[in-house]
Amino acid sequence: MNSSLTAFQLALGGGAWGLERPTVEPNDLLVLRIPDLGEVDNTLLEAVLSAEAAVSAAPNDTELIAALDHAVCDLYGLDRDEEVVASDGVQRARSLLFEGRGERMTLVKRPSSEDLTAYAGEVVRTVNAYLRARGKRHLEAVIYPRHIAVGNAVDGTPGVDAVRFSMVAGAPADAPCVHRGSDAEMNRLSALFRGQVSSEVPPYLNERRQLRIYDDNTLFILKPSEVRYWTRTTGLNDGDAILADHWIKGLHAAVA
Amino acid sequence: MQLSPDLPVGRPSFDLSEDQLATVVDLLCRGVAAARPHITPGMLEVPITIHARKAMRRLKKELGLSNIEISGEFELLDLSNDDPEVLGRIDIILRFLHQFGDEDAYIGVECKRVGSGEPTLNQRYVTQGVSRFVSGQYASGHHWGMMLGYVLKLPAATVVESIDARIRATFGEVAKLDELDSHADALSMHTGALVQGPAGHVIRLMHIFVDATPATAASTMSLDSSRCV
Repeated sequence: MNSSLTAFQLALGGGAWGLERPTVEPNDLLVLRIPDLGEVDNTLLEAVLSAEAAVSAAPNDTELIAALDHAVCDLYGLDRDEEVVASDGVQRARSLLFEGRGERMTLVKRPSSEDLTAYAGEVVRTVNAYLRARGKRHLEAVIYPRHIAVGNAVDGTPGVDAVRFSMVAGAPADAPCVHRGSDAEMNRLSALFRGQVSSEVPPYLNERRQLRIYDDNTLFILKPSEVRYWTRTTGLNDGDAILADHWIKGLHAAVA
Repeated sequence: MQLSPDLPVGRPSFDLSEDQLATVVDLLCRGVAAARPHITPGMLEVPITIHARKAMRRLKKELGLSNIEISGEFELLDLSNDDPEVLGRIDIILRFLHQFGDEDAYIGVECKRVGSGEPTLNQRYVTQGVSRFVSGQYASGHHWGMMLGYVLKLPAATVVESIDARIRATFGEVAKLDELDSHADALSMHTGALVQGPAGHVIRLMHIFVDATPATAASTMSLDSSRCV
């Protein structure tokens, strides 16, 4: 009951809680989807019980809470990507359920380097899954310490962040490779984008809130500098979009 | 107001088609390797393929592959007439995200048992496998099709030689099998170009021969009569 997966179901799996009323009632609990505990592996159950006991002893320890969430996801048989989506979903749901400036700010603040690294890691992991069979290339990412376009608090524009992805020789490693770009490179990129694409990019970026720019062996992803656009879930989506970019137009393996 | 389509700027340059094909080959070869302990003497194509498909789906999850769907016994319908007949059933198909929703778009894999000293099985590989791609019954208009040969009796080289000779005799010298770098879990891999249908469309068939020797029965001469398509 204390896991994010329960919160995910309550927040996004039903229509009443948070909208009609602020309290969780027995009928909400009755519609929770729970694995058949008589059928699941005992070790999974024991893992949940011990993780829950650990959290009870230290309820403010975020690592222990994450461990409990992970144990519950294992109990539900979720795969890794599903676990990411459920976890991010709870964060997004908070601002819907507990409307307020504080909650909104957690979604629209500038992404940290850790946020961008986690986002880029999911993109790289998604694409690299298809590069593993040949083992000749892999995707790597570069995140930057500064905005590519600075925001304006008066206008309410958040600025733009960019992440660069490049193909590199060699088989993909188990962990995605995400580097930090330098200020000098950031300055060059800012000048490049301002000079070449400023007439087309802003309207498109305003509508879609993301832009993929391919240049030789490199892809730049540009999005508003708000953390909600740079989550691990959006990383999974953007990884799929990159795969689709290459398969829809090119002469593909199966379709004439 | 119309929302702009979600298209990239510039030409997508990562050139992933070969990786896509290699991933399909990897899934097939590793799938059969994982299924091998479940193959029993005398097992026919259909159950071997079911074991392979199950193993492929587990592998897909393990490898974190999104955007791809693995299924089997894919029913082909001839929409040009009103007969209640099925044109054929492909043993394994793989579909990528952009192919969802289009019943004619897939990567088709036909599975057949073959073996050294098994002329009837090797003949069927061509007449009830390769021929279906050539006629357009399977993979009509596609660039690629795949044949998965379950080798019951080694050596694989003898099997390839026999099948290559039969393909050349039936479809001409241009259809000869060229050897490819083999996957670690395959015995050998080959490719050949074939003319599909009267319009002259060229389809490339990839032939993947994998070890299915646990299915060797005392008498492999008892051919699989349960498959009629």
